[in-house]
Order: sequence, then structure tokens, then C-alpha cells
Amino acid sequence: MNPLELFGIGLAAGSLGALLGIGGGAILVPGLTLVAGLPLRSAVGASLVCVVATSVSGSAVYLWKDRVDLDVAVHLQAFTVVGAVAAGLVAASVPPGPLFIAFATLLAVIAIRMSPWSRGAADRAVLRPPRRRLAAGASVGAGVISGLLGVGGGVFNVPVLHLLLGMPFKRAVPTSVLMLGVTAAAAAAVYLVRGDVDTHVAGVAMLGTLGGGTLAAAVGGRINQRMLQALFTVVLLYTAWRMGLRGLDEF
Amino acid sequence: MSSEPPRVGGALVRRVGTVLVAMMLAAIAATAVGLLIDGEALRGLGIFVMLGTPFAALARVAVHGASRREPRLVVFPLATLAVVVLGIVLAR
Repeated sequence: MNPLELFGIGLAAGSLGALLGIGGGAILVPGLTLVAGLPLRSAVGASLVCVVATSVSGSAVYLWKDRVDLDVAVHLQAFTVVGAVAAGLVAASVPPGPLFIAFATLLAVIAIRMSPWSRGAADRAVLRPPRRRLAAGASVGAGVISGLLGVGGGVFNVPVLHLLLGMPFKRAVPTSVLMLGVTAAAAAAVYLVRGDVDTHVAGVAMLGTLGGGTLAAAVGGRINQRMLQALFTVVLLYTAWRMGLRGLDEF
Repeated sequence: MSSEPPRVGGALVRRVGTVLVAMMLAAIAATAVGLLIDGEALRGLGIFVMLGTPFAALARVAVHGASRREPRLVVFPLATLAVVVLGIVLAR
């Protein structure tokens, strides 16, 4: 496998992920399967390692700025990890077809949420009193999605923290970034022990992802965010279409 | 829970941040050298350290909770770590 190709996929995932506030798994898994030709399970394993790297580097900054609600993160992580570990254990026996279809659906959901033409539900919602049991249940679900599909789950964590627990948005995002690292690390540990993490692929992609995050931090202010979101929405919808077709082929 | 100020002090939060940075730099160095010299063991060590970093941060929170006698900061991190260990044992 060409290391430059892997590094480029990691760089794209890291930079776009940081610019758009997502973990990068939504870009890495399609890149590693559709472009680099990796089996889905290996791509998910490598993606989880990259999500951990993205989370660790982002969390360090947020922690020093005191923007993470450590109490809530530590509490909800216990639930996301249950979902992630359970999903990591059953992933080995799930055929790739349904996983490709599930990933395509997830990409479509992210594309709609990231679209510049629609305001997210989190922005419109009226905050209600904290609903902790529901938040714990939803966190298990976010962990399952992370463990099965190799994404961080931030697209689910942030609404849980903001809508169900009433956390202000500026704290919900940093808290989610910390949480998704623990969740992805738990699932990645299961993949690693089972032999589904290729250290060469994961290592190169991880360095690319971290480089992309640094690049995004350097140029982020000079990029038209609305145009970037529009481009990203189109790319995600196209990728969802390709992943869906690949899933149908696998049946 | 949400609009209240964080109950965990800023000193612990920054200590956890320091643990993350130190381990991340060690993981990057090991992975990069492992890739340059094509060393499988060193690459594996880098990935292993990177995956262990969030758990080291949780362990730091648990140690802080134990020293301050704050059960919630001990129980949830230890429960999380126990689930991960159980998952690893089952995956083997």
C-alpha cells in the first residue's frame, strides 16, 4: 500500500475534520475502503486509531482552556464505552454489506446536518431540564455506532450534551471531543487485540491526520466556511452514494 | 448540570491535559521512528501508547478522586476501564 496515498487520506481527514468540527472518521473510512482498497474492518480499525489521535490533540488544547466539563465526560464515557466495546466484539461477525449501507446512511445524516442551507436541530432547540437517563442510553447508542463504523460519534455526542443535558454549545463540543477519544480507544483496543489494526496503515494515517489538524489550525481563519460546508456536503452525499452501492454489491 | 460551573477544579483539568500531551508526543515519536526504520514493534508501541492515552487521563482523574474522597470521580473512570479490560479479554 502506497504510504503517500495513506498519508494524503489522513491529511484530508484531519484537516477537513478540524475545519468542520468532526472527528474525521467519516472521511477516513470511505477513503481507506474506496480509494486505498482496504477491507472495511481494517479501515474501521485504522480510523478508530486516527479518531483517538484527533481527540487527544484537540482535548489537550480544550483542557488547558478549561472548556471541558470533566464531570459529565467521565460520567457519560462509562456508557459510550459499553456500546463501543460491545460493537467492537460483534463487528467481527457482521458481514460488510449491512455495514457499508449503515455507513452510507450515517454519511447522509452528517451531510444534512453539516449543510450550510439547513440549520442544525441543536441550534433551533429549546433547552429542557437535564434528562440524564435518556442521555446515558443515547451515549450507549453513540458508542455502538463508533465501534461498528469507526467514527468518533461527535455528531451524536454534541446533541446529547446540548439538548438532553442542557450544556452550552461552547462546552458541549470540547466535552464531546474528549469523550470520543475514550470511546474510539475502547473499540480500537478490541480491534487491535483481534488483529484488525494494521500498524503500518494506522501509523501513516494517524500521522497524516495529526498533520491535517495542524494545517487546518494554521489556515482555518482564511477559508470561507460556508463554501467549505457546501463542498463537503456534496462530497459526503457522493461518498454515501458510492458506499451504498458498494454495500449492495457485497450482498 | 449544564449551566452550572464545572465541579471539577481547573488544576485537575490542566493536569489531565498535560498527561494527554506527554503521551501523545511519545506515541508520535515511536510511530514516526517505527515507520522510518520499518520497525513493526516500534510502530505497534506507538499505536499502543496512543490508544492508552485517554485511559491514562481517566486513571489520573480516578487518582485525583481517590485523594479528594470524591466517589463519582473514582467509580465512573474505574467502571470505564473495567469495561475496556473485559472487552480485551473477550476479544482474545
